[in-house]
Amino acid sequence: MVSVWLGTSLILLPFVAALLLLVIAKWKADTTGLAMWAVMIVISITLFKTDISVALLSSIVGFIESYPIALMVCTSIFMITYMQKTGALQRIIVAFKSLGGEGKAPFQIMFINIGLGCFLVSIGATPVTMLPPIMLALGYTPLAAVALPAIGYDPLTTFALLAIPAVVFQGAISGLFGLTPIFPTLAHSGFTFSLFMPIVTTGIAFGMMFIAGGRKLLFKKQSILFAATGGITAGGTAILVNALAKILSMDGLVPLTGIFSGILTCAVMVILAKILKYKIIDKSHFTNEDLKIEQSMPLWKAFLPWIILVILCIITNFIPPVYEFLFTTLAMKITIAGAKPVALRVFWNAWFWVIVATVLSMPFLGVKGKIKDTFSTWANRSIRPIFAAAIFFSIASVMNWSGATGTIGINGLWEIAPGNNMIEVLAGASSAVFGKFYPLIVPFIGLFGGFVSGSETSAIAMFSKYIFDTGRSPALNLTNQGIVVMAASNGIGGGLASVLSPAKIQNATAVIDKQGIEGQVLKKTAPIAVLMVISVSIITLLWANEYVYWIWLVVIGSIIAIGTIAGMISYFILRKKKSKKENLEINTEDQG
Amino acid sequence: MIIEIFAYISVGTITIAYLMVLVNDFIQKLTKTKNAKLEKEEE
Repeated sequence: MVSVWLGTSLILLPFVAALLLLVIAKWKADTTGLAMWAVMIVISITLFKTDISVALLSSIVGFIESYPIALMVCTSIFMITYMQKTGALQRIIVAFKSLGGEGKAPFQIMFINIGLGCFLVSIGATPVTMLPPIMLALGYTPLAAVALPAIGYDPLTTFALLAIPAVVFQGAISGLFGLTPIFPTLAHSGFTFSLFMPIVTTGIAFGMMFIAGGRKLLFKKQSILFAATGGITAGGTAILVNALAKILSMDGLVPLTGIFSGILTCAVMVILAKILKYKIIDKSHFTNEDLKIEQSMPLWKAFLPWIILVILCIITNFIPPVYEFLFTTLAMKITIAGAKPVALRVFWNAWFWVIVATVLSMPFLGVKGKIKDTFSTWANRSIRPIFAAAIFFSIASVMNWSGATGTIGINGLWEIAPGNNMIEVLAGASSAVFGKFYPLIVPFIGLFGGFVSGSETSAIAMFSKYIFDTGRSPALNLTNQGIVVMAASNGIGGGLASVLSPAKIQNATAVIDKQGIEGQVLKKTAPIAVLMVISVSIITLLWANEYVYWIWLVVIGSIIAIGTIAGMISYFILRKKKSKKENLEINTEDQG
Repeated sequence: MIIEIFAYISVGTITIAYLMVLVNDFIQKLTKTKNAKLEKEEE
């Protein structure tokens, strides 16, 4: 049996080292992941007594489990490269460039990164590979062009890929409860997740303003207006859709959450811009080259690959017989030794339909002289991000199967020696330290899982059972709803890790050929993600323990007061600096 | 069985392609350093 403290220190060490490698040594995400995996394998075999073959085979299992995301990275980079080579992307960029015109950064940021970002991620497309070139072309710095799309869709990651994380969550948690009728349903799970959304989306929206233009942009009237409205619209829509699903017992509405939120946020942003009398379409700053690109092809043609993708996603998910056939009949389950079977679902996963959409758009966008070019650029860009996505899943899988002796039990799975599993050791250490305040650290556990695997789905898969067991323990003795809340906040933490995930950031840097700035992006986005996780953890503590209303009021009131005071101090410092600068300029002019 | 073979092949292909990229990048880095050194010496 591994000592809890020695084990915990050794498990956490590679993660701390990885952060330092990324931020200080400026290593790329894939090489950092590879080094982490090697260290994890050594720790798993030596300290946690994992069988060598299990350690290696579980790495392969993790690699294959990453395919819905790793291959999505691969195919979306292919799609975006093809769109670039055919001029379609440039046409779309010019169209977005006209949004709000110059000086309308708050509108552009909210419309593109939160509205469009949430919509894209909910249909299975990846904003981190699609939006950075647009942001760059709009005049944002490479750092902002990577960070804004990476953080924009974070709050709604639970409803990404047609709510796959929520679906996985419901399957895992309801299986653990084993109740009849099923508890929680998908609508109930979705509703629980959605109640966290308005705070997280609004917080992220303000964080985005800070990333784009520092405190100066953050405290602008327009920024406050657009961030508050956009955040509340995105989060509020999520609540509305899931409440409706819960009231009408319509689980099928949950996967539509992201689509509705994205479209509504875009619509509200346009309405707000109209009210503020912004020129929504402003081409006054277009260069001759922009005008030339605009005339090169109609907008519908440029958007065609995405339009086809949306139609295919709707067909494969909302026509029940088609969905059932692709999801269940063609599940393509494979079993590797004593690991849980992995369903490949090649013909259901979004990555497959990205290829189909790209191929179907070829007769319209052209192939002559473009395919060879597309393939060579794609090969250069995609291998590292694909491997980065996969290797972090391998690390998660090695952790999950650590302590396995190599013997396959009667349930067909590898047997794990009690006390020798990394997840178990981590769980033991965290509950020993936090006791009754355990709900406070749950979102951080999700954040940790999301960072390791680069996915909210795997953070949910990794820690749901551990959270369920701890919630049921005599020390906490939570109600069923309290456990659901705690497990959901683990998922939210995992979603917020998207912006910390080296693999995802690397996807974004790869499409604008700025690999190597991952560390700088992390430095900017990490504080925002951590701040959001702290808010989620406070709500989780209050909600999971079902505290009385006045405790809620006191705690939330205190947080708002602290936030307001911090904001005011920051604002006055900024004003003081500004007036100092102005005085200095006046003095210089006088001297001149 | 066929799906399992496909899965193993895909893992192998991605890993080999990645290792090739790593080696290629390493060689390029070496060449760059060597060229820079030569240029310095010539100066």
